[in-house]
Amino acid sequence: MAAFALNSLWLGPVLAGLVALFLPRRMLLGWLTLQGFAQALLWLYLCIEYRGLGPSYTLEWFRLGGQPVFYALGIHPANLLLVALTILIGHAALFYAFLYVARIRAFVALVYMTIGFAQGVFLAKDVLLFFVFYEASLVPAFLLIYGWGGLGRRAAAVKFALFTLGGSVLLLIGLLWAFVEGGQGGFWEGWRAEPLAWGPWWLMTLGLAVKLPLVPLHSWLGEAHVEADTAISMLLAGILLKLGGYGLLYWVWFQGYTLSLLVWGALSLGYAAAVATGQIDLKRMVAFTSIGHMALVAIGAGAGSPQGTEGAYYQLFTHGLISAGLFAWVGLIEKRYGSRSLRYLVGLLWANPRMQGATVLLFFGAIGVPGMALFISEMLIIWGTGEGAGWAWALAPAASLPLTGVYFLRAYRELAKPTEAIPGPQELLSLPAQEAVIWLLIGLSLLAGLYPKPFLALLAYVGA
Amino acid sequence: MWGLDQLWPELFLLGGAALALWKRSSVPLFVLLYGLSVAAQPVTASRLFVLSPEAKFFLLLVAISTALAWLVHPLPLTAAWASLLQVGAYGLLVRSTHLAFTWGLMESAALAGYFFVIAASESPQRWAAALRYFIWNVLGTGLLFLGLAVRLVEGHTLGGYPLAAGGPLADALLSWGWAVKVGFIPWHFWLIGVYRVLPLAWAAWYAVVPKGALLLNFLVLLPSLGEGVQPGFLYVLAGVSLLGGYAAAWRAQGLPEMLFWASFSQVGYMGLILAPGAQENGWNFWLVYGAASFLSFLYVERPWRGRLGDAVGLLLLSNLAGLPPVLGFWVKLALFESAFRYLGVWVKVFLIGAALLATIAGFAVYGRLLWRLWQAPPTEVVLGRRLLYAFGAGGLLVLGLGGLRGL
Repeated sequence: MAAFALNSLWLGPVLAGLVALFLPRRMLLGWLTLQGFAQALLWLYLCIEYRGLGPSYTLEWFRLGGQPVFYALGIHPANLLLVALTILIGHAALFYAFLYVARIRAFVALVYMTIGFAQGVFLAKDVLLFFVFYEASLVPAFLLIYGWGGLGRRAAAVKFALFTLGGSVLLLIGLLWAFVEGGQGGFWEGWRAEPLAWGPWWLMTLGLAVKLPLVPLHSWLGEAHVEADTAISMLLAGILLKLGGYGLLYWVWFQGYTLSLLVWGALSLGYAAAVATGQIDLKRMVAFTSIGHMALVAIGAGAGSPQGTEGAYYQLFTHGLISAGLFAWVGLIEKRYGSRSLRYLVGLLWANPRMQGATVLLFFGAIGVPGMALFISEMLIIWGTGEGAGWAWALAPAASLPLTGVYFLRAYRELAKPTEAIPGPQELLSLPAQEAVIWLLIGLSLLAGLYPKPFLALLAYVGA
Repeated sequence: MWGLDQLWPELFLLGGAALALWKRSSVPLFVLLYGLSVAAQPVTASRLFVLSPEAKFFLLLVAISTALAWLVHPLPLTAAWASLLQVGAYGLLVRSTHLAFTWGLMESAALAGYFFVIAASESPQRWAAALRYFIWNVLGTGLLFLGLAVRLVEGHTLGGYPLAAGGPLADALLSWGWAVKVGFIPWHFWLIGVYRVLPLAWAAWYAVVPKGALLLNFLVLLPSLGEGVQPGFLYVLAGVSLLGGYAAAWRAQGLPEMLFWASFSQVGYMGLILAPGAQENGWNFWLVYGAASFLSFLYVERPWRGRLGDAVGLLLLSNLAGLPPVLGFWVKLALFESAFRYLGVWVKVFLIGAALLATIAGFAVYGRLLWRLWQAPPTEVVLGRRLLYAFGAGGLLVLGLGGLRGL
């Protein structure tokens, strides 16, 4: 049963996507709901089965250079939360976009393929299998950005593909280098038995930093977010960025304190905050917030302490919730008022107090205010950095809170400014599905912030 | 002893040439019979030939691509004879283990190719292209001939399998001659001219068959060549070809032109396995690249648009770019693995670095090509051609799901 569940978690969505291509539109919503429940049940089953080591499924695939390559899937502390996040964000994006998106069948098929391949990335227990899923996820993501969004979406898709494929090549070369000369004992269990040598470590880190993304390898992200449809932005921020972070944490094995990654993460964080502060496009601002938050993952990984690693894994989850919520919120505003510009939206919240609650909670969530999920993960990263690298270095992740606060409070000031000129149509569009998705993500973010115990319990021993 | 008794399948080519006088449409059938009968022979080694399983697959690829090119674009009688002569020469070349025999086969193929270009093309530029072809091949011939002579003067033999290493000068001359004939950049001008004047199906054949036969024969001879002198000269050319081909492909205007230039980069990848012990991965790479490249040329000439057709095009070009999970990814991965394992340190740094940049550039080139394809208006594509594309792309995907076990 465990083998069935593990295989179904990635293959199920891929097949569901192919089936969706041939379903009549009236049956699609039921199909999405059924799939969502089925995948959630599989995850729950694996959680129940998980006892210390976690269920796994292993099959020798072929041999490369005399070493076996395995088709090996498994559940372990590092991926439990991320598998759940993928199911959640994937379906949230689908329900969010269902009523307005064009060519819905193709859209659903590609989103399901993205979900399936992302699950493969998280579940893979052989590093080569991880790479195959990692690469495969690019194709549906590219087609999604290419096919749905603004006028510049095609150029953004090409840029996304080139950056991420370039990163993949670096990752692959590093992987082979480590395998042939670096003393890694094969692609499977032996891989994590020894820390990586310096050369392969750098190549793999560079490759994954493109997807994370870290400055200056981030420039694809801004355009992809701005040009892509809102639901695709949710997928990008909630799932696809996590692939890079997870790869860095799980496969690029650290030995103690890795200063270079910590410094790189800190620089990336500062740069993202500076650029986000200057933005008047809300979506671009949220995109740069993502870069800043993911830089914290690099800092947590670079700290080389159990708390830092745990915090980095938790940050992947908490950021997935809040960033998807933020993008959904920006998308909702754009749909209602036809603009994402802060100049045009001055006074929006003053005129429409109904949106105040969600906006404040989302902004608090992004800043990392106590009570929100991001607060817990950022605290763990700060603690881990202090423990692993020294408390002076802990200032770097700690700076995230005030820096993020600056631009979110500035945005809030503009949106809530009393004004006579009420932006947008007088009559509000009713978009209940979109609002439900936003409130669901806010609710989960609050839950994971106010009562993080069950979430952190799933991450137990991840940093040890 | 000489292995001449293994040459009975060549009689099919003679039969095809004779029957072409009355019924030219029978030529593809005879070429296919030739390929199948070589594939049915047992794996053997003699003084002149070695017939390995990989060589059988390559000869099948040659036979199928020749038959398909013929079906897409039938040839006049002279061109048919020249093409049969080339098929025979390249079919023997890929099995040859004797340098003199190799030299003779290369010359036969080159002369036949010269007449083929003139007879098969209707372009006004065909004479100039054929002349350039001839001149550059004469240069390559001369270098190879000098290499053989120096080898003999140094007291080395021309035969024996595996071949004994020659002196530095002999090996350098042989490598240089080979490079000219394969068309490594910067000795590629003659080949691009040939591509431009030939009908696209036959240009695709030129991008796959002659290069493949020459490179794979080099792999047959390589084991001992590597023991004495590393083919450093070819490493440099491979690096230049890897980057130069894609750079030119990026600037190219037409879709076939992009594929032509990209084929020079694909040749450059073979540099990664020019080391003793790494040959098998080179064979695998060329077989997969050859099949995908030939189909891609046909696809680009007459793209099948629509949801399924676009997916087929994406799979074919993904295979050339080396994206998982199609088979092209795995064979390229194996090339890199061999390079890490068998090449010397500095060659590794240079060549893997060049291949890394080229792979990124390749994503850009094939992505751009795909984008242009998707912008173009739809064309009428017959069912047979759709099936060919679909089976080819589907096969590459299904085999790719098995990893390297697919080979």
